[in-house]
Amino acid sequence: MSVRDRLVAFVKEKMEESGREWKGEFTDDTPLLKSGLFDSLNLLELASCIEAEIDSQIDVVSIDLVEEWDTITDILRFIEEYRGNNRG
Amino acid sequence: MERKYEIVEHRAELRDALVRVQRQFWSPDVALNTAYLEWKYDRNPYLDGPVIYVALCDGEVVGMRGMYGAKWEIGRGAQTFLGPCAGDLVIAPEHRNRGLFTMLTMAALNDLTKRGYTYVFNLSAGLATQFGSLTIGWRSVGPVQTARWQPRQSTICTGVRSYASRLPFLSSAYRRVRRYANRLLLLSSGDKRHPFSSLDSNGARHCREATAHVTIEQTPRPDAMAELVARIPRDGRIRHVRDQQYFAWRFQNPLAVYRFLLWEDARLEGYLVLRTSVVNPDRVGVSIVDWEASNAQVRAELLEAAVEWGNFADLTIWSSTLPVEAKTLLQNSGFQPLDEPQSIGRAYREGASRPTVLIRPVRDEMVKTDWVLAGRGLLDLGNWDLRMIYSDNY
Repeated sequence: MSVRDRLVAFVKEKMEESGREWKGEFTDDTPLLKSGLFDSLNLLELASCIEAEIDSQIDVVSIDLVEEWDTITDILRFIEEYRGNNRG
Repeated sequence: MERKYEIVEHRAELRDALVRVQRQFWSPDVALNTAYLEWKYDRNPYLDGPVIYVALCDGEVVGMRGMYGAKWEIGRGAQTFLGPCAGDLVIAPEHRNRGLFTMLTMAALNDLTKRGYTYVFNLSAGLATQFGSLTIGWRSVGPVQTARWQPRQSTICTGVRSYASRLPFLSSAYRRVRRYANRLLLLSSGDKRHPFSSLDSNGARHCREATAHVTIEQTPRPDAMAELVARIPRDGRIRHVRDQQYFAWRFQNPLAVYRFLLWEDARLEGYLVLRTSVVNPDRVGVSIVDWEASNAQVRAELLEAAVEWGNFADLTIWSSTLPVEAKTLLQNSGFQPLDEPQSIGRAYREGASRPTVLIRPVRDEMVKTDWVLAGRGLLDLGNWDLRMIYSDNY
């Protein structure tokens, strides 16, 4: 399963648990944070999920979460950039 | 079925429902919760009346967020300002994950804007609140380092337990031996449910000595403590005002039990305040929530008394912003930095705590500006003098 597929599966699982729906087609550019689809507990779990993908800890204080983690596209870009910056 | 939520300001007829919903958070005792709410919000010296935002669903109370009054000082000239602190967020389980955190917080910010405040603080946010806050304009000053002291046999047991847990057969046998040992300890240790019992009896014994400077009391001395704080030169960092009014109110918290170690000669030269919880004191442990002295020797003797007389299983203090001399004293007394995760994600996975100070301007248009007061950046931990007593977790 690709990183994208894992992220999409995670997001859909959380939406189902919370009973929230995105009206319209859910895409990689559907806003998760700005729309309120994700709340603070979901964000905690998302942070944990992203840390597992990059195998490192993230100092979220240094990130503008709404700009960098709002959509699947944003999160994938974050993961790619992190891996690129931290390749040995 | 979609639920309709409404956020309203606290009114007297909602109080009974609020103290019931707080059984999830404050204590299971409604009378105790009522006393706590009255102390924190009705008798708070810095706000006129309770500032509490209540979430209703079909007229039923399903959540709340409080803003309790706080008065801060900054700069060597001790400029003061009122900056309320967010706390007591609770949402009934069946109404979580529905955006109520954001609704309650934004309602609070809109109201505080009308009341004329500039900044709001949070010194007791749990992990989910920390994270949620960061998405709606709050910023963190940074995780606050906690230092912890444990008796030597505890650190040995911790190491043995950690090793045994990795060997399945041994971990099972170790658990059986530990249960037996704990029963023996319980029989020999007297009242295990009172964390201050050793401190009280050892302190009373020591206080009878002619040379004793340190005494232990169960109530504060607001006048003397305020006079001491005022006498000690300020370094200008941001801290809560600690005057007679503050000390007289602060330690009336009905959810906590305090002990005051006082160093006196002709007058009070130092104090150290210990705190534990009324609810589950054994699980919560004991903390040094404030510690002030006119010189290093007094500071050292107070700490020595707390450690030697207390016979505590666990003693913690926020150490990030202590002066170097105090940090050295802690280190020499056996305190070690608690290994708290720097990452919120890791803290969540490990079920660890991660104390932090969160700040937000109440006006949205100020969120993208520099957050400065009296020429000091609010997001620089070096500009803060942080003590556990400022946090409503203590």
